[in-house]
Amino acid sequence: MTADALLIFAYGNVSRGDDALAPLLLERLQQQGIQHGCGLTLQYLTDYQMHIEHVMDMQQCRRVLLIDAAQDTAQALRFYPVTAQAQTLYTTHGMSPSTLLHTYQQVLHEEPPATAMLAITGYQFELGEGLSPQAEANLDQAEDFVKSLLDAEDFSRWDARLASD
Amino acid sequence: MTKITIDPVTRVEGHGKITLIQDDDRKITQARLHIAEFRGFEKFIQGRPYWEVPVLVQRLCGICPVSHHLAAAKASDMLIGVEQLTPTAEKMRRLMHFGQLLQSHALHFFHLSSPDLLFGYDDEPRHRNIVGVIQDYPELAKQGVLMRKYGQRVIEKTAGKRIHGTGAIPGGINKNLSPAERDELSQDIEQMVEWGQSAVELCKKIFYEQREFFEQFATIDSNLLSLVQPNGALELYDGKLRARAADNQIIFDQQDNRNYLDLVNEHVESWSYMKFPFIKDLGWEQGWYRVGPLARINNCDAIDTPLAEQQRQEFIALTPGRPVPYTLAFHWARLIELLHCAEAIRELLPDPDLQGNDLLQSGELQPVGIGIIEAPRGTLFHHYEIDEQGLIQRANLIVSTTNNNQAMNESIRQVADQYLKGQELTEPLLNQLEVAVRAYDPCLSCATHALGQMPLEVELIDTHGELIDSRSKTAMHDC
Repeated sequence: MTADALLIFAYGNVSRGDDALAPLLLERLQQQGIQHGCGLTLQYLTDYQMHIEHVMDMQQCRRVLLIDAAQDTAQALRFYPVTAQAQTLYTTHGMSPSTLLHTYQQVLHEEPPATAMLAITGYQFELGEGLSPQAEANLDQAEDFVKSLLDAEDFSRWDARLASD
Repeated sequence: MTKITIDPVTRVEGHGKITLIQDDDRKITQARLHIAEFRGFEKFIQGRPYWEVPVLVQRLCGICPVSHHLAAAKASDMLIGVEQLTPTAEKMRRLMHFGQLLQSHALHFFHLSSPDLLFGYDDEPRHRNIVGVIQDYPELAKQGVLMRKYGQRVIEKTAGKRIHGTGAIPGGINKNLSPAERDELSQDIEQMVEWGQSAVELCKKIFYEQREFFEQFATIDSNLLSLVQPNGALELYDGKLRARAADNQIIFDQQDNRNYLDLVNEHVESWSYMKFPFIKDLGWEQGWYRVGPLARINNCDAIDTPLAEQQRQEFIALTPGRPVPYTLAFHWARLIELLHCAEAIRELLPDPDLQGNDLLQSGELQPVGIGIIEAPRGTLFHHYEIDEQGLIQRANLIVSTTNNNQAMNESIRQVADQYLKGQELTEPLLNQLEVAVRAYDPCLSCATHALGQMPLEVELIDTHGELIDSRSKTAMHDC
């Protein structure tokens, strides 16, 4: 990772219907050649889910934007801060965003980069399905939203959006 | 901060539900771990060309995509009539597989099981997680993260990408390991071996300190199934099938992968979508078996790397003349394998074949392809049938967790029967049931298509199906 970068970490399974929302958004941004945002160099990362080793990907980044599909919400998008928090989810192979940040603190002995989650609403998650029409529309909205954040020269717009959510 | 009412969809597998059946004497007669087996795979790939399968199958699961990638590639080799890969292709695939096993076993020990082992089973759940490990054993937790990362780097260099890799293709591999990639991986491998040794030693120390508990908790006698080399040594990538009974008798040995349908059958229960594989000759009642690290270390006659072999000798000495039956010994066996993988990577990296350019073999198209591999959690079967155009007509997968289906039920039943006092399900009991299941390292995201975080739910019913008690563990979500 480049020091002082902005990491965009999108996770999801592209073969499980709307669970592909986050990786597809990342793909769109990469295909458009967007390499800088908010005055920083962008680093792109995608995976199926969060794992403990992702703390190493976050190291030396000033900010992190997590992108995931979401369900059971009326809103197309939600943008909110993620803070470090210990959780009791110790029975699975994955991690929650807050636990990942907590792990970062404990493993690297420093504060994790400021992190926000963009949750894009999806509706169907079966293997082999494509994006649902509603999710397609939400993906377009998400793309506009992220590009508007990245277009800024600093994080003032980003922070204002977080504050207004 | 306000409570967020939406949950980002995760790829985290759920532990579903456990049903315990208690008879009139308050004995637990049956335990049922409910897993909604994934049933969309055949439809997903039907009509797709066989050469796409090694990439497509990685999308089944985010936990062990490399195992599916390699099992499908092996099946595809058979579909194109290739029986022997080039040395470069075979060694690249083996290296990829060792990387996958290393990172998977590291995750399980350092992230999932070490809290159980280090803090005991009655510890406060909030403490008994990876965060607790980090607080109390900061170096251990960091080693876990870095071993995971190293395994991912091996995968990236051999499969082309960290996820959705394309390295293994029908008949071989599409890239070799460049000298620069070799040198990069070589830099840290001694450290991985050292940490692997430390992890085994720590696990052994914990075992010996609580030996009586470890020997009885969730312990069951079972048959064991795994691949072995022609000389009987541990084999993770491409061997022959061996099954061993709990009394140490060999049930079958050196069986060709292509004959698996003559050896293994799948039982169906009305209460579960998940099948119950068993050894055909023994029948369902006597023929269910265990796979995975415990089965593999018990089943093999040797390990071909010295440090892991030394550890295996100590392990099998626990129960001379018969396989080690202790379910919690899965953890110890898993770490012996982790050490073996680190040693095997160290041995492979200087091999000049990895820089070879002879990557592919070809042959005549065949209608059936079967690939069997030892995935981190156990034996993984991929079976495909194609038409003359090479399009998939039929597929059958038996994933490792399915192979351990009945064994997990038996371990759960044993724990519930021992620890359930009366008819009230308690939090400590739920913890103990989880510990029993977790020893098998089930990959439920592979076997289910359920999404979201599913806490453990346990229900106790009588022999007439009437509910006596139920309890669930709630999961905390982000705020």
